[in-house]
Amino acid sequence: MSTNDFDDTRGGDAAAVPDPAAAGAAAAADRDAAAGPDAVAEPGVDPAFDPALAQAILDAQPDVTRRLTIDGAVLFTAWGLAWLVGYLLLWFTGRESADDTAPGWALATFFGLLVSAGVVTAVHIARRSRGVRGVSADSGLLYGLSWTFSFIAVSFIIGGLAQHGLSGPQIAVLSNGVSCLVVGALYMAGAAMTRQRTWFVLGAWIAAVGGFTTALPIAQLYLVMALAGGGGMLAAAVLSSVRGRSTSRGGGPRADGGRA
Amino acid sequence: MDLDPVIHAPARLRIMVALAALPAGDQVSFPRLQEELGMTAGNLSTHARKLEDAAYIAQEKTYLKRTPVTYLALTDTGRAALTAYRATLTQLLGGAS
Repeated sequence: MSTNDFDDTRGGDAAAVPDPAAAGAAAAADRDAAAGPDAVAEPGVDPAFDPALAQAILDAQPDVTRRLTIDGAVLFTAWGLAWLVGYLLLWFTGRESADDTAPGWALATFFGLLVSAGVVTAVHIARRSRGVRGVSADSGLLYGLSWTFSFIAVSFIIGGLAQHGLSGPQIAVLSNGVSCLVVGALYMAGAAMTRQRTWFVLGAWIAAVGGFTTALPIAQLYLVMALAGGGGMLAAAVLSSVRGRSTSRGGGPRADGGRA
Repeated sequence: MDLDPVIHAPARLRIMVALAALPAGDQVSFPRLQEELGMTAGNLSTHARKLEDAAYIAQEKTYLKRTPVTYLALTDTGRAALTAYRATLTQLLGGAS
């Protein structure tokens, strides 16, 4: 039985389909067979396999899941830090100007921080989802594109209104409010897609903070955005990390595949 | 109360656990799975075949930019079998201690 299996792998598939995985498999299997006891050329029952060791492999499920799925905590941490530091900088540098707006270098630093968070997001998603395809991978791609196109639209709206003569402080307030609306709405939509309550609460919170701060003087707007916006994201990061760990430990491969 | 012999082997259990990490409806490529498990291609391929014979996993051969790639996924049967295996093991270890 085992020999047949082995031969099938080598002679069957590798010959019929020019699959490098299968071809490499055959070559590697040959090496394994020559390598000695470490080689598992015998695919039958392993009577020596200690159930306690099996339990240890099952207990490693959360680690395996973490490597193969996107971790909301990583993304929330990156964006939370960018918001916290960036808005604090805008608040701090803006306090000295007559209309509360921050100087150009502070705005450039703020956008630099946002871009950095974007890069962290892209790298994290690309790494974790490498080689994975299917329903949730497709949804994830469309969801990612939703963010990209929404923010391209935001930049056009802000730029367009600037052309219509909107003043600097008005632009500052409007771009903040509209951005919060988009971020909040997309987090809530993401929650609808993945059924993660943390995402929904964060989205509703960001939308509310964005709406509320619009009525504030700009200096206060930046301070509230830093603490409630950035702080809210960091809180979501902690919550989603704790929740992910506790649900993963609950045992059993979950119906949702372990996305917490 | 016997442990499912198809799953009860270190390599196959690790394959099952890794595939269970994916949401239902998703597949992972052979090279990525190999990398995650740190197994040789031969080892992974042999054990994957055994799991496929039991209909616990499904393997799909396709082309990515004209390069053949194999994608693997847990089947519903496999997901149920892993849950049952987990339960049996818990009982077994609970009874032993």
